[in-house]
Amino acid sequence: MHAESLLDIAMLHADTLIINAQKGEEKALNQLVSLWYKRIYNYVLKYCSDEDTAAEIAQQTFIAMFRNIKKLKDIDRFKPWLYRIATNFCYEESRKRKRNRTVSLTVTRGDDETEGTIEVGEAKGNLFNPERSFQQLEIQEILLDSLGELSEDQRTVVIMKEYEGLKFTEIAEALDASENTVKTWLYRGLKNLKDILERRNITKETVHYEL
Amino acid sequence: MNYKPDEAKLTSYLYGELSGEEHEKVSSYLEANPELKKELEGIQSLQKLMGKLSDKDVNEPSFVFEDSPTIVLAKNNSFNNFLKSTVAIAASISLLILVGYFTQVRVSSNDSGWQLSFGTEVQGVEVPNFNEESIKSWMKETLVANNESLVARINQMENNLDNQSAQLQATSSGVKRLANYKLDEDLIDRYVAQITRENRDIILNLMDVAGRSQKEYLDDMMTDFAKFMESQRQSDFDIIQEQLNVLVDNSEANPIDDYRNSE
Repeated sequence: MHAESLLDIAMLHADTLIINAQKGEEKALNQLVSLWYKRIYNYVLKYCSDEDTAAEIAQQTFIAMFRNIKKLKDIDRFKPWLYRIATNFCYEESRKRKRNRTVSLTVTRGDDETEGTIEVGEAKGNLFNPERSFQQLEIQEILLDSLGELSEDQRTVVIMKEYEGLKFTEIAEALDASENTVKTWLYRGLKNLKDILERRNITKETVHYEL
Repeated sequence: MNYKPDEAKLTSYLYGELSGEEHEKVSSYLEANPELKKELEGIQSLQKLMGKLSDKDVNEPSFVFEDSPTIVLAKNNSFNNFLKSTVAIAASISLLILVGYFTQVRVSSNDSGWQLSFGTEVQGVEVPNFNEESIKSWMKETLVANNESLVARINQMENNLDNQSAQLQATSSGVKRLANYKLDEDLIDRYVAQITRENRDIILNLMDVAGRSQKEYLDDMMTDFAKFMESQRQSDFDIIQEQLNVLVDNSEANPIDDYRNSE
């Protein structure tokens, strides 16, 4: 986590809060929510590209946090622990979506082929619309959508590192993987994302930003 | 050169986590492999492009804690308000029930209608039947009673007026008696004589005082006038004496003889 604001600094020094929250202090629990809700919400939003789902998963994450924070033995591991809870809910949501997509295809197989295609398109991400040209799409939507095309592991690692600023050790702990594995997933994730964006003609030449 | 950095190593290189020696080895390898170098440069460009995706602002929800581990999620403010109002309504109903219990409010219904009672229920309360006739008769009774009371009040006022009238007549006769009273003439004469005598004394006194004052004033005036005349006469004498002296002086300075001689 980059300490860019007072909020970030507070998050880095929330040891007392966590201890009090472990004692069941309502105020401390709610202060932890205040500190971390925006981070967790945005992390999930980048993972699932849907605001309602992100809000729902973020809330589930904090409810799970309330119920299990007493089990957290090392308060220094609070951050990866919290991201781990959120990530588990994200994976669960992905599985639900995959099941829904399979059902949709099964239902529409006998129908018009176009409808089936739309179902797949919608299931891939709410913000994705292949009929739109690049000019009509906001760069944020394209990035979100492109992230959605990555595999679960790669997407998770890319978001955790690039947007959440977690250390490799923290990501490894959150995902219960080795640091080397995390780094490999990250490299592949970034490379794939670059390829996806290039396929969509999103390069430094087409997007005006200062390099 | 057999060295080939794996993807994990390349990631460490990208994030600047390699030691100096390892960093050099990877750099050398990239120099020898332009395609991989281009790939890494592309990833670095991507990392800058990814900065375009910023965080969304979001308000954190409120969490209401019941007995652990039960947690009631208040999703947003409107839900929170709904929760508050629901609790308030429930509390109000509970209070009403409690008050009802302690005051032993009973609501019962029978053939004649609903009955609301406090404490023990009263049985056999007959509720009069309301119909047009009964209401009319009540109204009539009320009006008659009202009229009677009005008449009584009017009669009382008339009596009061009569009493007041009688008192006024009595007062009037008293005034007449006073007017007819014959004053004692001697008393008047004595009163007049007394007034005359007093007036005469006052006038005599006034004349006396005025006479004395006038005399004093006249005396003062005569004295002042005499003094004035005396001083005037003295002044005239002085002037004449002066003139005579002057004449004497002139005659002594210019004798007549001298004058004749010179002629």
